[in-house]
Amino acid sequence: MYITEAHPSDVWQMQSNIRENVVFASPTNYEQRTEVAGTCVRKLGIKFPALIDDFGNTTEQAYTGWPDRMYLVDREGKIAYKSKPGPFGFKPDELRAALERVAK
Amino acid sequence: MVRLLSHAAGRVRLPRCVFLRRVWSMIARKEVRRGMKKILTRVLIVLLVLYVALVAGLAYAMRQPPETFGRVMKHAPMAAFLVLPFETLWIHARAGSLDVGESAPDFSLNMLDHARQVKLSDFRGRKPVVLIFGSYT
Repeated sequence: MYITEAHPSDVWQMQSNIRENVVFASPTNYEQRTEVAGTCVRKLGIKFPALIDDFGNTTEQAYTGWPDRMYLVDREGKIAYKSKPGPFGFKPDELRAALERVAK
Repeated sequence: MVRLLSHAAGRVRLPRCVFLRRVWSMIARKEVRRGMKKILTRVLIVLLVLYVALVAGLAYAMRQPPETFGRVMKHAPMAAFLVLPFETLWIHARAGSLDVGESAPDFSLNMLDHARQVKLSDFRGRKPVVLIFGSYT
């Protein structure tokens, strides 16, 4: 789920991003967001499907997803796992454990 | 006190231990101790008020839209991250209203390649879905 940039160069540029040449200003429309998302997926080799949130950030706000967060939705459409907000709460091991619980 | 300081400045050379003994005897005097205690208490109160104000300000900033929060943090000194309880405040500020066990809000969004739209509720009864929110920067 591609959302609002965490550290755009025109708002809160991180030195680590400059070192890794990940420098992007805040997209000003949906197409620009899609473009940056495409670069992200390509450079990071992301294999799972990427969806682009609308420019009103409706989904991100509903899920409080910014700057990054993970959820697991079970087969009944209920939230089975909700991570703490990133970056501190971004823990793949917790998601793995939740997936194993849901898969049983 | 002034006399002592001028001594220390070297107008009258006193052995160091004598100087220190005189300073110590000054501090030992009750009224000097009381005065220092008062000053220390006031300094601590000011620091505490400042700390609470900074924590409240940071907690407020964390609840603002990403761009507003980002502009605030851009100007925050690195020391703030060490002194203020950033992680605790962040986890509370960004807790969100959804809870485990609740229905996940439905959405219908375009895939990156615009090949199709994906609707969350289409997966109901079929398979669990992992949602990973994020961005490149």
